[in-house]
Amino acid sequence: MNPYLKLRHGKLVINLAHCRHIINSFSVITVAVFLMTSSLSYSMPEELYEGMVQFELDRGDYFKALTLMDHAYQSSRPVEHITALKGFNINHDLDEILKKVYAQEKNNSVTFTSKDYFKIGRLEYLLGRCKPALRAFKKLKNKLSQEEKQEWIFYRANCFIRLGSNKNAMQVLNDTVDGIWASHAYYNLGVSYDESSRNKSKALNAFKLSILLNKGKTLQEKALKNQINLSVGAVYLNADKPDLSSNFFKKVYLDSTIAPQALYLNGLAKLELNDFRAATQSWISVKKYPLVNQSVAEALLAIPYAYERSGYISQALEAYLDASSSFETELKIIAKVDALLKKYGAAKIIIEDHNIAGLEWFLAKDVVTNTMKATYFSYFMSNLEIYDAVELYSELKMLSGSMQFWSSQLKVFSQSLKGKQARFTKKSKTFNPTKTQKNIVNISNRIKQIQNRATLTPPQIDRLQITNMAGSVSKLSKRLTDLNGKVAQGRERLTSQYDMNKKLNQRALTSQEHLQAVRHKLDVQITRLIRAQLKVLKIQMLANFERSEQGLVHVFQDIAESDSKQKNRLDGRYK
Amino acid sequence: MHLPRFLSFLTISTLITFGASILKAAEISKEKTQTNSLDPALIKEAEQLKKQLIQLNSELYKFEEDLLYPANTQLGVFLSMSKDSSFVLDSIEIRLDDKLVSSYIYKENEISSLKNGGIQRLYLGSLADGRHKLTARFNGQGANTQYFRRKKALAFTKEQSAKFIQLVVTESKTTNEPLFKVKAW
Repeated sequence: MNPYLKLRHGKLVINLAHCRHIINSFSVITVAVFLMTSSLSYSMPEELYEGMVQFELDRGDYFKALTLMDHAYQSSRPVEHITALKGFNINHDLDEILKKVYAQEKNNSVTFTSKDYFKIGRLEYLLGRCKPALRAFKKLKNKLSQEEKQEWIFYRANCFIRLGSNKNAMQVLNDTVDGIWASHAYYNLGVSYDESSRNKSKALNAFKLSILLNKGKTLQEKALKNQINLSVGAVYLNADKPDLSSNFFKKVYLDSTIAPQALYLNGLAKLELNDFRAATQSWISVKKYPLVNQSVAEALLAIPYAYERSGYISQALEAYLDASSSFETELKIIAKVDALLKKYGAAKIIIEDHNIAGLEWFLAKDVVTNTMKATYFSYFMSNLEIYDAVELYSELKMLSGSMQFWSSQLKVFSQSLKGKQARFTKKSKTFNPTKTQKNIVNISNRIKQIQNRATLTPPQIDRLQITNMAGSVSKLSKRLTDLNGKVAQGRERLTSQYDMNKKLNQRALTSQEHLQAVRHKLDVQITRLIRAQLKVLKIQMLANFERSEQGLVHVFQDIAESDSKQKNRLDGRYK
Repeated sequence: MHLPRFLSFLTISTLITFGASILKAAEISKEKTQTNSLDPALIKEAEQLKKQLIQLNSELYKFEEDLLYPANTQLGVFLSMSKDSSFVLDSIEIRLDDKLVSSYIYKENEISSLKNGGIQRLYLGSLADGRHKLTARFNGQGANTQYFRRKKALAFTKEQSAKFIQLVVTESKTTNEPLFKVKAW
């Protein structure tokens, strides 16, 4: 019996499984390959695609947002594009794109929403251009969310402060809502009033409003609150109101970065109140903070002065010696850090996590933030140039990691594609289209023979589904013809896919090398910047050391020149 | 008045010691103009490189997507939130045919991004044609800081084209309780 023709339970079934199996297995390959190379674009509904870009933009993953943005999106949403570019610190093309944006606005070729104007204004503000920022902010029609409205008010107020109009800034802040942005804005206004006016009541009012609007719950709010308290205290101290100033200095949290300043100034306030004991206590408590903070150095120098004023001469001398010793130790550390930077570079010593034998004293990491490395890192990062340079270095490092990831992925893809190619070749060897075509012709002829049998009645032909079978065979024949074309196409596409993988891998490797080179250049420059900063610290520390030595001389001189009976105030240790 | 005397002492002392360092400071400021900023050429080179890498990264993502998740087998699961929803999403778990395929813990800025119209792609994978079940488990706090752990299941049929399922977090206007809707594309 012909394997392709069986009569089962009174029904004629053609066994086409063998033909189908061969054809189907090839169909899967060709369809998959076709879809793989059909188009390199994100295939999803526009609403979902735009929402995805928006999500990355709003959560601050600008690299991902820029990766997702295709050319069509970039031209239809120029504001989002420049926002992402600025966010990822690609500033070079910003002015050119902004010019296009303004031209589009002028020609009415693009309609900007309130949010767009807000983003343009924010961008101009971040670029330090207040006038165009205010122009953009003026076009808003109050359609912002509560959070954005706060931000909008902050930028406008700050712009007016920068342009020298505190009055306009105050007017902007009049319709303010509470929150960290408003608190920041009032703080900036307070600082501006303090700097520009002799009458400090306006500054104090602004600071007080700033405190009122600050809930002090988040880390950011707490940090700002500390800063406000320090500033208010300083204003009162300058206005000869030490008792009031001390109340504000005390409100600064001891774990804040500005605690040494607050404690030092609190000591000064106490000194003005003739409370030497409290002043000394305040300054002694500053000693636990790192000496790279100048307030700590000032406190170390102020302690002996307070002792001296209190008549404790030996303690004063001891305190001067203690200060000198601390400054000397710090100078040695500075010299060591400088030598390390010179030898290893800033990336290994300051930015990245490295374990270099013998350098555990400096590179040690801990959960606490007052390790040697953390102290110096914070000190260097207070310089904006260094901060920006390190940020750029970190971005390049992140990109380097991304390229490494892709290189390993592409290696896997390459192996997978090789496997597919091998399976494709194997399958194509087992598949004989001529033989399959012959089988189909045979089946077709057999069906025709059955159809032409005179003994078969029309109901029997109907029951045996002869017409359906004839249709199926005809379809199969067409599929086989199509498949021949697809097989050739599939082979070609798999090859092109493999080639593309290879090209992308090559580009990823070249990019990694380029990244490595740029990171090295950047490391050299960051090292130069940090060493220059360290030089400043060294000079400052040297000056502190000399001041403490001068203090010692001053005390001895004072004693020597004293006509009073108290000339023998030194105890045995210092005679 | 103690403060002026104290300050004058410090000032005198400072002046003496800084006498020598004033010259040094002048030298530093001169040097500073050369050493206190990055080379603009290097910044430009870094920016150009960043742009190249964004382009390459984009091509790589598309290549990966087309290679691993071809359109005829592709399944994408997305999440969005309505603007007025007071639900604070802590985390989400996505199960496909009872198999955990994705989970995510949210940060505050991500929640506000979702409320601003952002859409997060939670899962992208390949799936055979036929009947499947998608289960999403939402954990978070609703109005009145009430803690919610809700499950939303969806049975769907995957056909020979890409399937996109969008989970939408909204809020009942009457009870203020979070509602989880499903939109199939």
